[in-house]
Amino acid sequence: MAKYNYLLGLFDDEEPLLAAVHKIRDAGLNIHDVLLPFPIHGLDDALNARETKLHNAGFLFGATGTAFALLMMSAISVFDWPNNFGGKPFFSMPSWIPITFELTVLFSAVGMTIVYYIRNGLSVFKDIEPLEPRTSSDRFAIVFDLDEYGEEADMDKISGLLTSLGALEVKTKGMSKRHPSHEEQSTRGFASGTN
Amino acid sequence: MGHHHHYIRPEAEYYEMDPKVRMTGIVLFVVGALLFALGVISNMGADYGATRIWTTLMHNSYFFLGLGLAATFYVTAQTVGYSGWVILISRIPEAMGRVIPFFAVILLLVFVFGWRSIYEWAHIGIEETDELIAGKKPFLNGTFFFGATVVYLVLWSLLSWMFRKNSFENDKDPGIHRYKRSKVIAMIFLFVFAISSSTALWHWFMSIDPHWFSTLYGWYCFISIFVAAIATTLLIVLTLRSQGYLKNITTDHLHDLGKWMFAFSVAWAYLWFSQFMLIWYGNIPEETLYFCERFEHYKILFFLNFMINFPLPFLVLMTARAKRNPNAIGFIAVMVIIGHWLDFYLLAMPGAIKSAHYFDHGHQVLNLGFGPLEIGVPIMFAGAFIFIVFSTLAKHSLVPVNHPFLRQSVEHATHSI
Repeated sequence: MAKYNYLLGLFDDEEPLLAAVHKIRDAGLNIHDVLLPFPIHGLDDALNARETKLHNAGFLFGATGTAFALLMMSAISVFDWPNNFGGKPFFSMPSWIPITFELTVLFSAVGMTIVYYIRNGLSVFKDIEPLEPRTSSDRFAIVFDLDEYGEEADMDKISGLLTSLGALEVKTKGMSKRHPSHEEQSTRGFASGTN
Repeated sequence: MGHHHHYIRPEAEYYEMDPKVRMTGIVLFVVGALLFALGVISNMGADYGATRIWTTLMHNSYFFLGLGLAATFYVTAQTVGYSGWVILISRIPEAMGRVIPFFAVILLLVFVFGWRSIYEWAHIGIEETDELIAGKKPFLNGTFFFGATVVYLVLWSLLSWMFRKNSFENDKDPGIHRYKRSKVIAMIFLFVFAISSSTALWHWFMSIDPHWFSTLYGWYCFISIFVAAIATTLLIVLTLRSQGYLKNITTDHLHDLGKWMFAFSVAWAYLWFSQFMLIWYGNIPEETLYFCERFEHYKILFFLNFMINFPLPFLVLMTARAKRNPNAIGFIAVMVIIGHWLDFYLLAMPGAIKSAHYFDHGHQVLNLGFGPLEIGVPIMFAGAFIFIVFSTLAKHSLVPVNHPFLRQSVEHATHSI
C-alpha cells in the first residue's frame, strides 16, 4: 500500500506550465513541487520559492577546508618534519596559499554535493522511485500533496483547474517514500528538475 | 519573465546635464589644478622634482585614459559575446571611451617633455654603464617607444570613436546592418587591445623598473584598470538612476554589474598573488628588487593596496543581497577606484623615484610621500573625466532604442532573492 499519495498535472511545454503555476497560486492552492526536464526562467518567482541555504553550507564547508589545509600543512611542515627549502620559514604561508585554496574549493564542492543529495532525498547507492519518469524526458509536472487535499471535492477542483489550464493528463500516484516539497528541498531552480 | 507583464518598448531617453554634476566636474578640475600648480611650484628646482612631476602626470593620464579604454573593452567584449542584458547600460561605457583622445594627448605631451625624467633607460648614455639596460635597447629606445605609443593611442581613439559613432547612428538609422557593423568594429578593437594592452604597459609602466620584468605584468595591469572601469560604470549608472533616468535598469542589472566587480577583484588578487609568490619563492635578486623597493619603502601603501582591492570587495560583495544593494556596491565601487589608482601609483612612482637618485643626509630617499601634486592631479583629471563623460551622455539617447537585444535587456532577470 502506498503511504503517500500525490496528484500530478502533466504539461507538454514550459509556457502553459508557467502560466498554470501563476493561476493555481492565484486560486490559493499550495503546489507541492514542480518537476521539469530542464530549468525554467521565472519559475522560482512564480512559486515564490525560498532562497536556497545551500551556499551557507558551502561557506561552512569551505571554511572547514581552509582550516584543515592550514592545520595539515602546519602539522607536516612545522611540527612533524621541518625541512629547509631555500631558507624559507617552516611556517611558509605564501607557498601554502595554492593548496589552501584548492582544499577550500574541494571541501566546499564535495560538501555541497552531499548536502544537496541528502536534502533532495537522493542517493548514489540505490535507485529512487520517480514520481513521473517522463519529467526527465518531455513532460512538465505540477505536483499536489493529497495528504493536504484529501477530500473528493478538492481533488475534483484541482483536476478541473489543471485540465482547464491545459494539462494533457491528470493522474494520482502512490509512493512508499515521501517526496519532499520544493520548500523542504530549499534549493532553487535546478532542484525542481529532479525527481 | 514576461508571462504576466507586457513588454513595453523603452523610448529614447535624453539626459540633461545636471548643474550639480557640471559644477562637481568644474570644481574638482579647478581645485585639482590649484593643488597641481602648488605641487609643481614646491617641487621645482628639487633634485627629484622633474621625475616626480612627470611621473605623477603620466600615472594619472594613463589611469583616466585606461578607464575609458577598459570601458570600451567591456562593451566590445559584450558585443562579440552576444550579451543581451548589458544593452541598457552600454551607452555609459561607450561614453567613457570619449575620454581616450583627450588623455591620449596629455599622455603624449607628458612623454615628449618628460620621458627622460621618468625612465631610467632614457637617461643619456645609460647603456654605456648599465649592461642590462643596454641589452634591452632593441625594445627600450626612443624610436620604438614613441612610434608604438602613437600607434596605440591613435588606434584606441579611432576604434572607440568608430564603435561609439556606429552605436549613436543606430538611433536614427534602425536596421540590423548597424548591429553587424558593431560586431566587426568590436572584433578589430579586441584584436588590437589584446596585444596593445600588454605591450603598452610594458613600455609605459614596466620599463620604469628597467632591470626587472614580469611575464604577467600586462594582464595584471589590464585587470586592475578593468575593475576600476566597471566600478566607474556602476557609479555613473547609480548617479543617473538617482537623478531619475534609466528607469528600465533594475536591481538585476546592478546585481550583474556587482558580480563583474566581485569576479574581477578576485582575478586581480589571483594575478597579484601569482606574481608575488613566484618571485618570493624563486628569491632571485633581479626579480625580488621590484618587491623590495615597495615592501621596504612603501609598506603601508603596499598592504593597503591589497586590502582595498581584494579582501574588502571579496567579503562585502560575497552575498547576492550585497550585490543588489546600491549603497553597498556604490561604496565598494568608490573604494576599488581609489584602490586601483593606488595600484598604478605603486607600479610607477617607487621605480621612478629610485632612478632619480635623490640623496638626503647621505641616504638615498626612495619615498617622497603624498603632497599636493599627488592629490591634485587625480582630482583635476577626475573633474575633466566627469565633465567629458556626462557631456557625451547628454548628446545622445541613454537607451539604444534600435538595438536588436534591447528587449532581452529590459526583461533581464537574475532570479535571485
